[in-house]
Amino acid sequence: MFEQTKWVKAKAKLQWVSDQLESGPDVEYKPLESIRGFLMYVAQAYPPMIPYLRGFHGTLDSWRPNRTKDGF
Amino acid sequence: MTVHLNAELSELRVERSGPKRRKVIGSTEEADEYDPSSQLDPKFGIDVEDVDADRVFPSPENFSGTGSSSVQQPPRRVTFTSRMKDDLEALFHLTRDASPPKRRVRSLRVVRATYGFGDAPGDGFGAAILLADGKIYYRHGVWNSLISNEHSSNYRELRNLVESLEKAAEAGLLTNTEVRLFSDNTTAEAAYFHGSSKSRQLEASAFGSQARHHHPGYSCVWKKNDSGQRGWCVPW
Repeated sequence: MFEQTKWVKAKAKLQWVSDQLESGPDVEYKPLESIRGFLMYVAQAYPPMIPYLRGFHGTLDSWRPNRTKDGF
Repeated sequence: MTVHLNAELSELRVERSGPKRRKVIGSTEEADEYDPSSQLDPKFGIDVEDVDADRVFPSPENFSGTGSSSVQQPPRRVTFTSRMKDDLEALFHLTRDASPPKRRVRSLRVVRATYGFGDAPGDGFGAAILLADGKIYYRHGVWNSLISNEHSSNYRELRNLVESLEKAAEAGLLTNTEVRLFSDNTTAEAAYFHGSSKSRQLEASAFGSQARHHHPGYSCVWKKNDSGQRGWCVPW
Protein backbone atom coordinates (compact mmCIF):
# COMPACT_ATOMS: atom_id res chain seq x y z
CA MET A 1 0.00 0.00 0.00
CA PHE A 2 1.16 3.49 -0.77
CA GLU A 3 2.20 5.52 2.26
CA GLN A 4 -0.18 8.13 3.57
CA THR A 5 2.56 10.72 3.98
CA LYS A 6 3.65 10.35 0.39
CA TRP A 7 0.07 10.53 -0.81
CA VAL A 8 -0.39 13.85 1.02
CA LYS A 9 2.95 15.02 -0.30
CA ALA A 10 1.89 14.27 -3.86
CA LYS A 11 -1.30 16.26 -3.43
CA ALA A 12 0.63 19.18 -1.97
CA LYS A 13 3.03 19.17 -4.89
CA LEU A 14 0.15 19.14 -7.36
CA GLN A 15 -1.35 22.09 -5.53
CA TRP A 16 1.95 23.96 -5.79
CA VAL A 17 2.02 23.43 -9.55
CA SER A 18 -1.59 24.53 -9.82
CA ASP A 19 -0.81 27.72 -7.90
CA GLN A 20 2.12 28.42 -10.19
CA LEU A 21 -0.09 27.85 -13.23
CA GLU A 22 -2.62 30.37 -11.97
CA SER A 23 -0.01 32.94 -11.03
CA GLY A 24 1.74 33.09 -14.38
CA PRO A 25 2.64 31.44 -17.67
CA ASP A 26 5.99 30.11 -16.49
CA VAL A 27 7.46 28.19 -13.58
CA GLU A 28 10.86 27.48 -12.13
CA TYR A 29 12.54 24.55 -13.83
CA LYS A 30 14.19 22.73 -10.93
CA PRO A 31 11.19 22.47 -8.56
CA LEU A 32 9.00 21.31 -11.42
CA GLU A 33 11.57 18.70 -12.39
CA SER A 34 11.64 17.46 -8.80
CA ILE A 35 7.85 17.25 -8.70
CA ARG A 36 7.77 15.35 -11.96
CA GLY A 37 10.17 12.78 -10.54
CA PHE A 38 8.06 12.31 -7.43
CA LEU A 39 4.85 11.97 -9.43
CA MET A 40 6.50 9.36 -11.63
CA TYR A 41 7.23 7.46 -8.45
CA VAL A 42 3.57 7.74 -7.41
CA ALA A 43 2.46 6.63 -10.86
CA GLN A 44 4.34 3.38 -10.39
CA ALA A 45 1.66 2.45 -7.86
CA TYR A 46 -1.17 4.11 -9.81
CA PRO A 47 -0.62 3.58 -13.55
CA PRO A 48 -3.75 5.53 -14.60
CA MET A 49 -1.80 8.66 -13.69
CA ILE A 50 0.89 8.01 -16.29
CA PRO A 51 -0.83 9.59 -19.34
CA TYR A 52 -1.41 12.81 -17.43
CA LEU A 53 2.25 13.41 -16.67
CA ARG A 54 2.76 14.47 -20.27
CA GLY A 55 2.08 18.08 -19.37
CA PHE A 56 5.08 17.95 -17.04
CA HIS A 57 7.28 16.30 -19.66
CA GLY A 58 6.28 18.81 -22.30
CA THR A 59 6.72 21.81 -20.02
CA LEU A 60 10.16 20.74 -18.85
CA ASP A 61 11.36 20.16 -22.40
CA SER A 62 9.60 23.12 -23.98
CA TRP A 63 12.84 25.13 -24.03
CA ARG A 64 14.51 22.71 -26.42
CA PRO A 65 14.57 23.56 -30.13
CA ASN A 66 12.04 22.27 -32.67
CA ARG A 67 9.23 21.75 -30.16
CA THR A 68 5.53 22.31 -30.63
CA LYS A 69 3.31 24.25 -28.25
CA ASP A 70 2.85 21.02 -26.27
CA GLY A 71 6.60 20.72 -25.77
CA PHE A 72 7.03 17.67 -27.99
CA MET B 1 45.77 -6.20 -40.26
CA THR B 2 44.73 -9.80 -41.00
CA VAL B 3 43.73 -12.35 -38.37
CA HIS B 4 43.87 -16.11 -38.94
CA LEU B 5 42.14 -18.42 -36.49
CA ASN B 6 43.13 -22.06 -36.62
CA ALA B 7 40.71 -24.02 -34.46
CA GLU B 8 42.62 -27.27 -34.54
CA LEU B 9 45.86 -25.80 -33.31
CA SER B 10 44.17 -23.32 -30.94
CA GLU B 11 46.44 -20.73 -32.30
CA LEU B 12 45.71 -17.12 -33.03
CA ARG B 13 47.95 -15.43 -35.51
CA VAL B 14 48.16 -11.68 -35.79
CA GLU B 15 49.98 -10.35 -38.79
CA ARG B 16 50.63 -6.77 -39.65
CA SER B 17 51.29 -5.86 -43.22
CA GLY B 18 53.76 -3.19 -44.21
CA PRO B 19 57.12 -2.39 -42.77
CA LYS B 20 56.10 -3.02 -39.17
CA ARG B 21 57.10 -6.15 -37.29
CA ARG B 22 55.28 -9.46 -37.69
CA LYS B 23 54.21 -11.54 -34.69
CA VAL B 24 52.81 -15.05 -34.33
CA ILE B 25 51.65 -15.52 -30.79
CA GLY B 26 48.89 -16.99 -28.69
CA SER B 27 49.78 -20.69 -28.36
CA THR B 28 49.48 -22.37 -24.99
CA GLU B 29 53.23 -22.66 -24.60
CA GLU B 30 53.70 -18.98 -25.23
CA ALA B 31 50.98 -18.10 -22.74
CA ASP B 32 52.90 -19.92 -20.03
CA GLU B 33 55.91 -17.81 -20.82
CA TYR B 34 53.97 -14.55 -20.76
CA ASP B 35 55.98 -11.60 -19.57
CA PRO B 36 53.81 -8.74 -18.20
CA SER B 37 56.48 -6.20 -18.98
CA SER B 38 56.13 -6.86 -22.72
CA GLN B 39 52.57 -5.33 -22.76
CA LEU B 40 51.43 -8.36 -24.74
CA ASP B 41 48.06 -9.94 -24.08
CA PRO B 42 48.57 -13.73 -24.33
CA LYS B 43 44.84 -14.42 -24.48
CA PHE B 44 44.11 -12.41 -27.59
CA GLY B 45 47.58 -12.06 -29.00
CA ILE B 46 47.38 -8.28 -29.29
CA ASP B 47 50.28 -6.00 -28.71
CA VAL B 48 48.63 -3.13 -26.83
CA GLU B 49 51.48 -0.77 -27.49
CA ASP B 50 51.47 -1.57 -31.20
CA VAL B 51 47.69 -1.15 -31.63
CA ASP B 52 47.68 2.27 -30.01
CA ALA B 53 50.67 3.42 -31.99
CA ASP B 54 48.59 5.05 -34.73
CA ARG B 55 46.22 6.85 -32.35
CA VAL B 56 46.60 10.49 -31.51
CA PHE B 57 45.45 11.44 -28.04
CA PRO B 58 44.93 15.11 -27.23
CA SER B 59 46.62 16.52 -24.22
CA PRO B 60 44.40 17.41 -21.23
CA GLU B 61 44.83 21.09 -22.02
CA ASN B 62 43.55 20.67 -25.58
CA PHE B 63 40.80 18.16 -24.81
CA SER B 64 37.36 19.42 -25.92
CA GLY B 65 35.25 16.30 -26.17
CA THR B 66 31.66 15.87 -25.07
CA GLY B 67 32.20 17.63 -21.79
CA SER B 68 29.71 19.69 -19.87
CA SER B 69 30.60 22.78 -21.84
CA SER B 70 28.96 21.34 -24.98
CA VAL B 71 25.69 20.36 -23.22
CA GLN B 72 22.93 22.93 -23.36
CA GLN B 73 21.68 23.82 -19.91
CA PRO B 74 17.94 24.38 -19.26
CA PRO B 75 16.73 27.86 -18.44
CA ARG B 76 15.84 28.88 -14.92
CA ARG B 77 12.14 29.15 -15.80
CA VAL B 78 10.08 27.27 -18.39
CA THR B 79 6.70 28.04 -19.91
CA PHE B 80 3.69 25.86 -19.19
CA THR B 81 2.34 23.93 -22.15
CA SER B 82 -1.26 24.19 -23.27
CA ARG B 83 -2.27 20.78 -21.92
CA MET B 84 -0.84 21.32 -18.45
CA LYS B 85 -4.13 22.60 -17.03
CA ASP B 86 -6.09 19.60 -18.26
CA ASP B 87 -3.45 17.21 -16.98
CA LEU B 88 -3.50 18.84 -13.56
CA GLU B 89 -7.26 18.52 -13.39
CA ALA B 90 -6.97 14.84 -14.21
CA LEU B 91 -4.27 14.32 -11.60
CA PHE B 92 -6.32 16.18 -8.99
CA HIS B 93 -9.23 13.91 -9.77
CA LEU B 94 -7.12 10.76 -9.53
CA THR B 95 -5.66 11.87 -6.19
CA ARG B 96 -8.91 13.19 -4.75
CA ASP B 97 -9.09 10.57 -1.97
CA ALA B 98 -7.90 11.54 1.49
CA SER B 99 -5.91 8.34 1.78
CA PRO B 100 -4.17 6.36 -0.96
CA PRO B 101 -6.58 3.84 -2.47
CA LYS B 102 -5.70 0.20 -2.43
CA ARG B 103 -4.94 -1.47 -5.71
CA ARG B 104 -4.86 -5.17 -6.29
CA VAL B 105 -1.52 -6.17 -7.72
CA ARG B 106 -1.87 -9.93 -7.44
CA SER B 107 -5.20 -11.53 -6.72
CA LEU B 108 -5.42 -14.24 -4.07
CA ARG B 109 -8.18 -15.92 -6.04
CA VAL B 110 -7.43 -17.43 -9.40
CA VAL B 111 -10.04 -17.02 -12.08
CA ARG B 112 -10.06 -17.67 -15.76
CA ALA B 113 -9.18 -14.72 -17.91
CA THR B 114 -12.23 -13.49 -19.76
CA TYR B 115 -12.52 -11.85 -23.11
CA GLY B 116 -15.08 -10.00 -25.09
CA PHE B 117 -15.79 -8.10 -28.25
CA GLY B 118 -17.35 -4.75 -28.90
CA ASP B 119 -18.38 -2.92 -32.01
CA ALA B 120 -20.51 0.08 -32.89
CA PRO B 121 -21.28 0.06 -36.60
CA GLY B 122 -23.69 2.61 -37.97
CA ASP B 123 -26.35 3.66 -35.50
CA GLY B 124 -26.12 0.57 -33.31
CA PHE B 125 -23.75 -0.85 -30.75
CA GLY B 126 -23.12 -4.11 -29.03
CA ALA B 127 -20.65 -6.00 -26.89
CA ALA B 128 -20.34 -9.48 -25.47
CA ILE B 129 -18.05 -10.73 -22.71
CA LEU B 130 -17.53 -14.38 -21.90
CA LEU B 131 -17.46 -14.53 -18.11
CA ALA B 132 -15.41 -16.78 -15.90
CA ASP B 133 -18.37 -19.01 -15.07
CA GLY B 134 -19.03 -19.67 -18.74
CA LYS B 135 -22.00 -17.34 -19.05
CA ILE B 136 -22.08 -14.56 -21.58
CA TYR B 137 -22.74 -10.96 -20.66
CA TYR B 138 -24.03 -9.02 -23.63
CA ARG B 139 -25.29 -5.55 -24.24
CA HIS B 140 -26.65 -4.04 -27.42
CA GLY B 141 -28.82 -1.20 -28.62
CA VAL B 142 -29.23 1.76 -30.90
CA TRP B 143 -27.72 5.18 -30.28
CA ASN B 144 -30.13 8.00 -29.78
CA SER B 145 -30.18 10.77 -32.33
CA LEU B 146 -28.10 13.10 -30.18
CA ILE B 147 -25.15 10.71 -30.07
CA SER B 148 -25.45 9.33 -33.57
CA ASN B 149 -25.71 12.75 -35.19
CA GLU B 150 -23.34 14.86 -33.13
CA HIS B 151 -20.56 12.45 -32.24
CA SER B 152 -17.98 10.67 -34.36
CA SER B 153 -17.87 6.94 -34.99
CA ASN B 154 -14.64 6.75 -32.99
CA TYR B 155 -16.38 8.26 -30.00
CA ARG B 156 -19.24 5.79 -30.30
CA GLU B 157 -16.79 2.90 -30.52
CA LEU B 158 -14.93 3.94 -27.39
CA ARG B 159 -18.07 4.76 -25.47
CA ASN B 160 -19.51 1.36 -26.30
CA LEU B 161 -16.41 -0.41 -24.99
CA VAL B 162 -16.18 1.71 -21.85
CA GLU B 163 -19.86 1.48 -20.96
CA SER B 164 -19.97 -2.25 -21.61
CA LEU B 165 -17.12 -2.83 -19.21
CA GLU B 166 -18.61 -0.44 -16.66
CA LYS B 167 -22.04 -2.07 -16.73
CA ALA B 168 -20.50 -5.51 -16.31
CA ALA B 169 -18.28 -4.25 -13.50
CA GLU B 170 -21.20 -2.56 -11.72
CA ALA B 171 -23.07 -5.85 -11.83
CA GLY B 172 -20.15 -7.49 -10.06
CA LEU B 173 -19.32 -9.75 -12.97
CA LEU B 174 -15.71 -8.68 -13.36
CA THR B 175 -14.49 -8.88 -9.77
CA ASN B 176 -11.03 -10.43 -9.59
CA THR B 177 -11.13 -10.89 -13.31
CA GLU B 178 -8.73 -10.04 -16.04
CA VAL B 179 -10.57 -8.87 -19.13
CA ARG B 180 -9.33 -8.78 -22.67
CA LEU B 181 -11.63 -6.67 -24.75
CA PHE B 182 -11.20 -6.67 -28.50
CA SER B 183 -12.07 -3.86 -30.83
CA ASP B 184 -11.51 -3.15 -34.50
CA ASN B 185 -11.22 0.59 -33.87
CA THR B 186 -7.61 1.67 -33.45
CA THR B 187 -8.52 5.27 -32.61
CA ALA B 188 -10.63 4.26 -29.63
CA GLU B 189 -7.99 1.85 -28.46
CA ALA B 190 -5.26 4.50 -28.79
CA ALA B 191 -7.35 7.04 -26.89
CA TYR B 192 -7.67 4.65 -23.99
CA PHE B 193 -4.07 3.53 -24.14
CA HIS B 194 -2.69 7.09 -24.23
CA GLY B 195 -5.30 8.52 -21.88
CA SER B 196 -5.85 11.41 -24.22
CA SER B 197 -6.79 12.21 -27.77
CA LYS B 198 -6.87 15.15 -30.11
CA SER B 199 -10.64 14.86 -29.88
CA ARG B 200 -11.91 16.38 -26.65
CA GLN B 201 -14.87 14.02 -26.58
CA LEU B 202 -12.64 10.98 -26.91
CA GLU B 203 -10.27 12.36 -24.31
CA ALA B 204 -13.05 12.90 -21.81
CA SER B 205 -14.35 9.39 -22.35
CA ALA B 206 -10.88 7.89 -22.08
CA PHE B 207 -10.18 9.80 -18.90
CA GLY B 208 -13.50 8.75 -17.48
CA SER B 209 -12.64 5.12 -18.02
CA GLN B 210 -9.21 5.60 -16.49
CA ALA B 211 -10.57 7.45 -13.48
CA ARG B 212 -13.45 5.09 -12.80
CA HIS B 213 -11.13 2.11 -12.88
CA HIS B 214 -8.61 3.75 -10.62
CA HIS B 215 -9.76 1.72 -7.64
CA PRO B 216 -10.87 -1.77 -8.73
CA GLY B 217 -8.66 -4.68 -9.45
CA TYR B 218 -7.05 -5.42 -12.69
CA SER B 219 -8.39 -5.49 -16.17
CA CYS B 220 -6.97 -5.40 -19.62
CA VAL B 221 -7.79 -4.05 -23.01
CA TRP B 222 -6.29 -5.73 -25.99
CA LYS B 223 -6.15 -4.33 -29.43
CA LYS B 224 -7.12 -6.71 -32.12
CA ASN B 225 -5.13 -6.54 -35.32
CA ASP B 226 -5.43 -8.33 -38.61
CA SER B 227 -3.23 -11.23 -37.57
CA GLY B 228 -5.53 -11.74 -34.60
CA GLN B 229 -3.00 -12.50 -31.88
CA ARG B 230 -0.74 -9.61 -31.11
CA GLY B 231 -1.80 -6.81 -28.84
CA TRP B 232 -0.91 -5.15 -25.60
CA CYS B 233 -2.26 -5.09 -22.14
CA VAL B 234 -3.26 -2.01 -20.17
CA PRO B 235 -3.50 -2.34 -16.40
CA TRP B 236 -6.40 -0.42 -14.94
